[in-house]
Amino acid sequence: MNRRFMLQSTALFAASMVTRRARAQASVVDTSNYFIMNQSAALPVRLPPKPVAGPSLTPDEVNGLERQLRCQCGCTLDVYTCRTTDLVCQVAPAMHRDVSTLAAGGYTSDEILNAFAKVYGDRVLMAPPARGFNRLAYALPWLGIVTGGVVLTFALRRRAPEAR
Amino acid sequence: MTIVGELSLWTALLMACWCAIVSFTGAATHRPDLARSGERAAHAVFAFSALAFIGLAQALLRRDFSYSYVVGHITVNMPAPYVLAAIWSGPQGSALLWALLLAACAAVAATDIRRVLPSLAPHAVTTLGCVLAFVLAAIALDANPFDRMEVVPGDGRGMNPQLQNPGMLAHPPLLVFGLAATAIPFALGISAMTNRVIPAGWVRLSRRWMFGAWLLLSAGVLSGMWWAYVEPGWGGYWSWDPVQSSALLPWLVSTAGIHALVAFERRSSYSRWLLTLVTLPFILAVFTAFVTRGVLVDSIHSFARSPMGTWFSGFLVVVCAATTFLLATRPVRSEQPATATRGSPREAALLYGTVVLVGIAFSVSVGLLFPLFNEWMGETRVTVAAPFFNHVNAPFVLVLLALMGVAQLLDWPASASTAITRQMRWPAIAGGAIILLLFAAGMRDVQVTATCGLAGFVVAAIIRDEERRYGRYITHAAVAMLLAAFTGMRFVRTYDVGLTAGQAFDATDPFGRQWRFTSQGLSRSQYRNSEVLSVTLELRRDGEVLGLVTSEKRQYVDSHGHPIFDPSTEAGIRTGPRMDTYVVLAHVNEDVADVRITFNPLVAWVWIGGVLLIVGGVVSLRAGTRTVR
Repeated sequence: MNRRFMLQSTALFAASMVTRRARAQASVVDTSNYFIMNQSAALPVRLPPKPVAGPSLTPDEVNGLERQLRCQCGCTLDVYTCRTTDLVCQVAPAMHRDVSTLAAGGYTSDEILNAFAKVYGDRVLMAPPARGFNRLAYALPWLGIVTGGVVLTFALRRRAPEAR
Repeated sequence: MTIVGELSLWTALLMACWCAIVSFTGAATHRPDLARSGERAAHAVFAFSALAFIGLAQALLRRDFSYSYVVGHITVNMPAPYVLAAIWSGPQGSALLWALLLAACAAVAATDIRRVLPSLAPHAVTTLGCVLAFVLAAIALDANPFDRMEVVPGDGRGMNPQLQNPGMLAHPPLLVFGLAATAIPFALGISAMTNRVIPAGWVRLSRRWMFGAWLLLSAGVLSGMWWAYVEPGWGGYWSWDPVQSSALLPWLVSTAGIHALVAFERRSSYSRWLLTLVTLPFILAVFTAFVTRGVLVDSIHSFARSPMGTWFSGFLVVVCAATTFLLATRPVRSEQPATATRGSPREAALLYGTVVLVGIAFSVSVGLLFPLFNEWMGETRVTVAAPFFNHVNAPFVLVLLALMGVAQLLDWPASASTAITRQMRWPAIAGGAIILLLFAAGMRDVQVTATCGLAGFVVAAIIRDEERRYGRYITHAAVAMLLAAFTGMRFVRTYDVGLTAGQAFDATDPFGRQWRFTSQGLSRSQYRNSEVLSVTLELRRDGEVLGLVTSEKRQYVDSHGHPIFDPSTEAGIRTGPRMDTYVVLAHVNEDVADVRITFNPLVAWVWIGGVLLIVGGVVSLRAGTRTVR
């Protein structure tokens, strides 16, 4: 194969591919640029107020609690950040209303988190609760580092070659 | 010109295939003429990729709406810098940018490797040719930015508002450049394993390329942090978003790789671990591309999803399998002369450091993939976000800081334990003094106290060191500064308040100072491509007027004035040495502006630390380049 033949073949291939693709026109706009929000993702989290009900959490504690709950609109943010940043999201304000109602009803942080997890599942929590299979996520990093350290310690003691 | 660009994309693909095949044949038949042809083909791939890139740039700048990519990413009234930045605002364009930067690295590296390590060059160029052929094939066949429209519209759909920020001009190119550059150490590692030898000179060449990639990744990650801080209005610079986290992986492992190369240069041992760390950053770069473009994880970067995710998943499997096979089956002989003696304490500290760095990368990967793994195991879906990553990684970061300080003080020859103790005395006193000072000031947060104490230990250890390696000093001091500054975010104080014009709100910052925020009212303004609703607050601290801060909601519009996308947030930030005052316009109810005011301590030190990290990296890279020459 000489250079001229190679160049001619390359040009021919490129031209034929461009022509073929030009015939098969794209009829749709590339919409990878767009984030589609699920505005109907909020589910009611309701519990009757406790008998001797008084607000159980301060506004700061409510904000802190909302940082542990994930907004379900698809944004990947916590409820507090989403509701104080996104003008359009209707999911985070709805979840905030439920948190506030439960706090006003005398429920503690843990009880509120459990109530949300019961309705939405564990995906509503910003970190997996350390129970059952989830413990693996917390244990694996330690296991990895400790194993690496032990292996290296043995290797340093046994395998280091002499300097030449 | 655009049609030339389109033609060039296909030609670049052919040239990449030629580069891979001819280099491989040259290596197999020991024919230097074929190897040189492969090298020239690498140069040609770069030239044609550049033409394709220019073609797309011209289509965007001419606002040629006959192309689907142009329609999907710009409008007629968009400012020119963002029109140009639209090249990498979509998955097709950013893949083309990746191909261009990868081709640029490959073109330079092909000549560089032939000059320094002629015996390894054909295999290294073969590897680079294969990677280029893959990326260009994925673009040409499944993410072609030159796809055309059947009906040409009068205006486009515009760019995602979060991308219309000056950060868009720097962050994606820097990060993509860094990810692409990891291919060079990968090719050097593969060629060493294929030839079963690490020749003298390989370590320094690999270190230089790895350091270059690390520097670009550092700049890319830091510019991304800055962008995340100023643009979406979330109030933080690191949210452990899956794409943000995945970009950290190659950086962490590259850092480990650089340290392993330093240790290997002196001791010439643990070649398999070294080759793992040299090849792994590229594998993780492909993983990052897969996470960014795939649909497996939910991310704020979901605008980057494309069919290329499938391509990258396939490529990831192939690259992992090939590298693992070579690592497992090819014992490598080292020709690097060892200059340090057996039992070198600094070597041990460096290697333990690499284990911790890879361990942190592993922990981040576990967090990224655990939701998927959980689902595959039939468990309920879980979310793994900031609380998990902060909780799991905090102790590892402390170990890393301690090792950083200790490694500065240890020597290459084995020293007596009394000498080591003497070396460590003053840095340990400095670290302890910081802990005591913080405790006396009322600090009871163990993580913050330990991080700041260990950061002080690192800086004091650097001062004690007598080697005069300024690049290394600056880089390690910058990392200590960054990690200490990150702890500031544990003391964030936030206020939500509704303000009408003239109304004031009093707040106390984490340092106990009194602030008064007085609303100057809402204002509306019209720009060429956006309608802006803003609130301005006057800031007073302990009675002293500090100035005005404005936060905006921007509604982008097309050339007909029609709204495109949802409104986006522009935070108002006042930066100070102790903390930032961060204002976000959250909602507007008639004339009441709902504002979120946040005091973010030590943020300025994050940016100073970031700049120092880059400066230190440049100094080290220059020193390394001089050494190679």
